[in-house]
Amino acid sequence: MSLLVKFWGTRGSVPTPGRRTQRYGGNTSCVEIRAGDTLIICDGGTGLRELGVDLARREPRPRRLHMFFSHPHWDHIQGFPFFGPAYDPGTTLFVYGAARDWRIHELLSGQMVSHYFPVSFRDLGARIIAGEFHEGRLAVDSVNVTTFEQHHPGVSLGYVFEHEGVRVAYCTDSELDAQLPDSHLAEHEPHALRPAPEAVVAWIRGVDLLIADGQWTDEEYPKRVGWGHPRASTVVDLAVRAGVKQLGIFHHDPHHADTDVDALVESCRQRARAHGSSLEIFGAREGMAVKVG
Amino acid sequence: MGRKPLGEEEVEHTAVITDPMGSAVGSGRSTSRPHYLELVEGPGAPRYYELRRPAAVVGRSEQSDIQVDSEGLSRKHLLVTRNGGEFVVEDMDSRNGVFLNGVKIHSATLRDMDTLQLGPVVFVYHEGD
Repeated sequence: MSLLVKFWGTRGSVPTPGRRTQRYGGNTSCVEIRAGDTLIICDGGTGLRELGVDLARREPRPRRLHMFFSHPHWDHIQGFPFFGPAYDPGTTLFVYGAARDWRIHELLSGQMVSHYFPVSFRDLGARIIAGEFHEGRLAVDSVNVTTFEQHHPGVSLGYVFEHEGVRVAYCTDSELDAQLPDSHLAEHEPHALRPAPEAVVAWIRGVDLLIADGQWTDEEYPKRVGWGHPRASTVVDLAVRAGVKQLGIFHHDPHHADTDVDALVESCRQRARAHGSSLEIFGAREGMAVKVG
Repeated sequence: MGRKPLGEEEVEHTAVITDPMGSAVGSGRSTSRPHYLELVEGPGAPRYYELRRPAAVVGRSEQSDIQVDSEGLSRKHLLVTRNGGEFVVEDMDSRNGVFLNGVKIHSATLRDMDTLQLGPVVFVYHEGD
């Protein structure tokens, strides 16, 4: 049994429409993962609106949707007020967070007060149910989900979804470079394989697909230390060390045109090859779906 | 083999797919540039297939809307559907898969100059107006 992964929004930070971003897309973070009839949504950036439109056209229409948010920064929640199924009384939305942690609920509802948006959170038609992780684990139907904290201002969560032995990791907004055991290596020996944080390697070891924030080039990162995003090259090294099979570079910088993303992805491929790795790498692209497993 | 842009002089090389309304396609009467797939590798290349129907099947079968007689192609290999002004491609559980710009995909929305590889057969998508 395979997992179907579809990208509805791949841009980081802010929606970036226009011809220069047409191929990879301008909508912010939203990824759909399907395991049979189980439908999982990672993040609610502006790509979530398009997913809602598509869900309304499907036969049968999915009625139980499971939402996992990496964190509540705007580019990960801004599509929620425009998500059609949230207004449908026939829909049940499960929103997951740590036990007794209501921050995601509060922040989702907080953007739906009158100063920001004309419809109140409590007027949404769907049943919205908070689901809880216990010790970082939960099961959604036959999908086992694990979660872990990542390095990002205010903390973000990474997730691994496992279904019948196939594993997909969703790890966006993670400044891996700030966690490197030897932070100077990247500057002094930029081509050397960087040591990755052991805890992160353990979480994602051997996954079939890693969807990872790869927002910046080596040249851009030094001016953006502490902003919460890594060098794409460091993500490649993490994936190599963890024995990941396929890497989808995600959360594209809003300044990056399609040609910039092409160049960044190609540099990642060259880096993996230079490390002697057979890791497959692609740039996550809005509207693209891949079968995993 | 040289590649020429689609134009009136290439009409005889263009596999014309008429839409359900039966309008003339590739006749040069339309002023807007059409959406089309250009066969760049495989039997019959170069060849142009205009996308006018809401849906078209690419495959080896004679029943395919875009038929390419290549052993590497499944009988029904790729489904192309129109979604508003865009075209979406989907792998029809083909034997050799569908690669978009070198990446194996299940489905994708096409953009100008995208390359689709179906076994040994390669198309380039050209976005119209």
